[in-house]
Amino acid sequence: MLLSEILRRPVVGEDGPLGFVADCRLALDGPPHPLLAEARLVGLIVAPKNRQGFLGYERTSVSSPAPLAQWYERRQRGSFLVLWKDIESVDDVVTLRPGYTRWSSAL
Amino acid sequence: MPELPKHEIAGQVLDVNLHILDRQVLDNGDVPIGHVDGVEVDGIDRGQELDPDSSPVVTNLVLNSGLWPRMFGGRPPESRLHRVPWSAVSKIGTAIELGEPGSSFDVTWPERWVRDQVIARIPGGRHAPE
Repeated sequence: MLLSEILRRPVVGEDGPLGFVADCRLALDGPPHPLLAEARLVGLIVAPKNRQGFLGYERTSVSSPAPLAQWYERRQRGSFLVLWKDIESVDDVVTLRPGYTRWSSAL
Repeated sequence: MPELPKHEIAGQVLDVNLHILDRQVLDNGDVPIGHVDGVEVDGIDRGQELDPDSSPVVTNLVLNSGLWPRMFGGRPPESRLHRVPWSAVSKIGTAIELGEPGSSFDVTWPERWVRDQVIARIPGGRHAPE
């Protein structure tokens, strides 16, 4: 499956709609290959509004130019990381397991 | 809103949309061979309950297959997806670098075809300029 097909899909939890998939987080912590370690999917970043981020202002410590950083941070506020173990199914809608945990989406 | 806890991860962390999609791809001679249109993973069956204990693993990058779907929607057929295996990726930075020459990937077939069928038929087209 292509991860780009999951982006912008709506996300629902036990208490209703939570937002949209803003990004997919990978970690290079698998078995080492000759060039680069294996990459596994850690989880999905869920944003309450279906808005594109910009240059990672909302997930990194970059804070200048300040007006832009504040603007983009505000556009993505309330976004969170949900781990793979908390995802129940992926289809036209991404469904989370009951009792899922919200983690900070910061890099 | 309360501060959310941070999930610590041992290896390098990458966000697909932020760090990989639309990045230029360079072969081992720093020659651009395309850009990333998709990241393919195994272990996700659409509509099926997922296994919480086995995270999907990235298998391929998909290059240069996104122009028509972006303009007209839909998904390119399997035969049009130009894949580069993850094991060929050597570095991810402002560009994605591969550890193999571009000629070893299907994505560069139009260049090879033009070289062999068009350029080679032009007088002097089979050797470097003197």
